[in-house]
Amino acid sequence: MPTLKTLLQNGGRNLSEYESKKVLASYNIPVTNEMILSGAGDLQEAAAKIGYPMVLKACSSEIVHKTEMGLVQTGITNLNEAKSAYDFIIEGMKKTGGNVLAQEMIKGKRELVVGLVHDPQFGPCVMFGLGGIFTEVLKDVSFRVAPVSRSEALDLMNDIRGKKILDSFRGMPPVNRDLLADIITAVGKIGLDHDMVQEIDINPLIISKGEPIAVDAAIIMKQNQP
Amino acid sequence: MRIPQDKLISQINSLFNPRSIAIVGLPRGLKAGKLFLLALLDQGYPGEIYPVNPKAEEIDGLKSYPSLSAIPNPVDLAIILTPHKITLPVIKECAEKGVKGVVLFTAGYKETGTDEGSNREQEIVRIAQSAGMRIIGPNGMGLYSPKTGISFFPQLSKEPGTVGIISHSGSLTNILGYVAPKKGIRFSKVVSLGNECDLNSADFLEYLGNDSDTQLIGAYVEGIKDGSRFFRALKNASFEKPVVIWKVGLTPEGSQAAVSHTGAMTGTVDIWKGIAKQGGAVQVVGIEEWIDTLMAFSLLPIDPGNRVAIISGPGGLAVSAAEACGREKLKLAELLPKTRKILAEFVPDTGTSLKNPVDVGLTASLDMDIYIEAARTVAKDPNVDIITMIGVGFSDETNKKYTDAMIQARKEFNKPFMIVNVPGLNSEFAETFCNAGIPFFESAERAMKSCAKLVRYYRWLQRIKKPS
Repeated sequence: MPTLKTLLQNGGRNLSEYESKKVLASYNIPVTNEMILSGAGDLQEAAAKIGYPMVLKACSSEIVHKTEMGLVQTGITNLNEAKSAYDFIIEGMKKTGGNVLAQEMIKGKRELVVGLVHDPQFGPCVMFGLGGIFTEVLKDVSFRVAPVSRSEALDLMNDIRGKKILDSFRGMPPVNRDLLADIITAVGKIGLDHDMVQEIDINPLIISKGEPIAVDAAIIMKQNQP
Repeated sequence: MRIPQDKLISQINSLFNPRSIAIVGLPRGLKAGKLFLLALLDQGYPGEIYPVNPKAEEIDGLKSYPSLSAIPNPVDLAIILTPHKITLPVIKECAEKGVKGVVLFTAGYKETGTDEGSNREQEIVRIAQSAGMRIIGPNGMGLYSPKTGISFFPQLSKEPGTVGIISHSGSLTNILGYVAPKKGIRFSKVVSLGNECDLNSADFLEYLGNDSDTQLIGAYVEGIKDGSRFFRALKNASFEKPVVIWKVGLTPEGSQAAVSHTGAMTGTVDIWKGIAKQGGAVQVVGIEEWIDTLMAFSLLPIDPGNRVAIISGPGGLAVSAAEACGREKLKLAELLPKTRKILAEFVPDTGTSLKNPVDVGLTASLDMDIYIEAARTVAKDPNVDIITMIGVGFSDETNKKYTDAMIQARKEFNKPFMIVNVPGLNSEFAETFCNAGIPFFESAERAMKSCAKLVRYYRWLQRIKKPS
C-alpha cells in the first residue's frame, strides 16, 4: 500500500475522499470530522466521536460520483438507521470495493466549489464558484493561476455573478472571506507543491454559520509516472 | 533555453536600434519584398541599408551585394526575404557575420505541419542560438519604431509616441498603423511576430513592460507558446502600464479528459478569462474595440474618475448614453444645484432636461453657443469627472466652432472630454479632436465601454498593487 505522501508525489491513482481531505487538512483547509469504518462494529464508536445526525458515504478512489450512485446516506439519527445505511452502501460497493466513511453532517444552505486544474499551458489554476448541484447548471465559476495571493483570492470571489451569496443573506451571516481566501490560496499551493496533482475538487464547500468547510473532496492524480 | 531578463532586453534593444540593415533577397522590381525597402526609405532610416541580391548591381540607387558576407561593414539586422529552401545558408552567413537579429519574413517552416519544415526551423534556431542571434518570424514582418526610423510598411507615422504593439498578424499592425494617426495613437515600438520560432509574445511583453519609451501596450494574440512566462510578463507589465489584449483562438476544448467537476468545468476560454483578469489585462474583442481602447487609453488620464456628465442635442442618444453609462458601471454625475441653475438660464426648456444627461435640445444645433456654454458650465462642476458631448451643428462652419470650443474647454478646465459622433459631423473633425487629445467615438456605447475599461484597470492596479 503506497502512503499518501508517495501517492501525492508519484501519482498512479486518484485519492479517495478520506485521503483527499487529509491532504486538504494538512494545508489548514477546514474539513468535516470523519472516520473510516472497518466494519459495522465501528458504527457505535463513530457515533460517539462524531455525534448524530451523521452521514455515511462510500469511500473509494474508484468512485468519483458517489451521490449519483446512491452511496451517500445523510441524516442518520440512531444506530439502527446507521446499520441499515451501512449495509446499503456495502451492497452498492460490491463491484468497486472500498470503505464506508462516517462523517458529521454539516448544515448550511450555501454551497460553494473550490477546485484546481493543471492547465497544460499555464500550470495549476484555481477555480472558485457556486457549488453543489448547481455547479454544472449555472456554471458560475472563475479561475486564477497559482500562486493566488490574498488580494487575488478576494478578487476571485468578486468575479462570480452570484457573489452576493457571500454576503449576509436571508438571515444568514456573511461568509468568512478571510478564511475563504486562505482556502483558495491553499488549494493553489497544493497544485504548486505537487506536480502530479491533475485536478482537485472541493464540492460542496458548505458555508455553515458563515464558516466554509470542505464536505466532499477528490484529488485526481496524473496516472503516468513522470 | 532561458535567457536572463537584462540580456533579453539588451538583445531586443539592439534589434530596435540597428545601425545597419541588410535586406536579403530584395527584389529589383515592385514585388511584395520591395515594401521593406520602401518602408525604411519612407521612414527616413538614418543607418546603412544593404540590399542583397546576386542578380543586381544596384537596387533603387543603393549598391547591391551578391551575398551577406560580401558586405564590407557590420550588419545589425537582416531582413530575410529568400525562399525557405535557400534560407539555411543565409542564416549561417548571418551567424558568421555577427548579425544581431533576423527578421524571417518567408514562411515554410514548422507551421506547414511537415517534418521537413519542422526540421528546417529547428536547424535555423540552433544556429541562431549558438551565435547569440535572435529571430523574429518566420512569417513575421518584424519591427516598426519611428524613433529609430525602422518600419516594415510604407506610410506609417513618423512621429514617435508611447504605444507599444505586439501582434501575431502583420496585416493588423499595418491597418492599425494606418488608422492610428487619425486617432491620436502614436507608437514607440511595434512588432509583428509571425510564427515565433525564437522570440515570442512573452519576450516582447517583458521587453515593452520594461521599456521607458512605452506607456501603453496593445497586443493581438493568437496562440501563446509559453503560458507561465506570458502570464508573469503580463502581470509585471500591467503593474507598470496598461496592456490591452485582443485574444483570439479561444475554443471550448480541452475538457474532454476531465474527471472531476472542476475538470469538466474547465475550458480554454474560462482559464484565459481568469488569467487576463489576474494579469490586469484590458480585454478587448475585435478591431474596433482594440482601436477605441488604445485611443481612450492614449488620450484620457489613467485615473479619469467615474462620474460622467452627458450633454446631448438628440434626446434619444442622451438616454441611450445614460443607459450605456449604467451598463458599464460608470456613474451619472449628480450636477450641483448651482450648475443646473446656470444651465436653466440659456438652455431652452421645451422637452429638455437639465439633470444629467443634459438634453440641450434641437435649438442647440442652430445656436452652437448652447452646446459650448453647457459644456463649460458642466466642466466647472466639481461633481463631474468626465464630460461626454453628443452634438452636431448644421454646417462645417458651426461644427468647427464647436470643435474649437471643446478643445479650448478641455484645456481651460483640465477635465477629460469624450466626443460622440452624430451623423453630420465631418470625419476631419474626428481627427482634429483626437490630435488635440480628446477621444472621438462612433457611439456613446463605445465611449462608455472604453472609459469603463480605464476605470477598471486603474482600480485593479490600486487593489492588487497595494500589498494587503
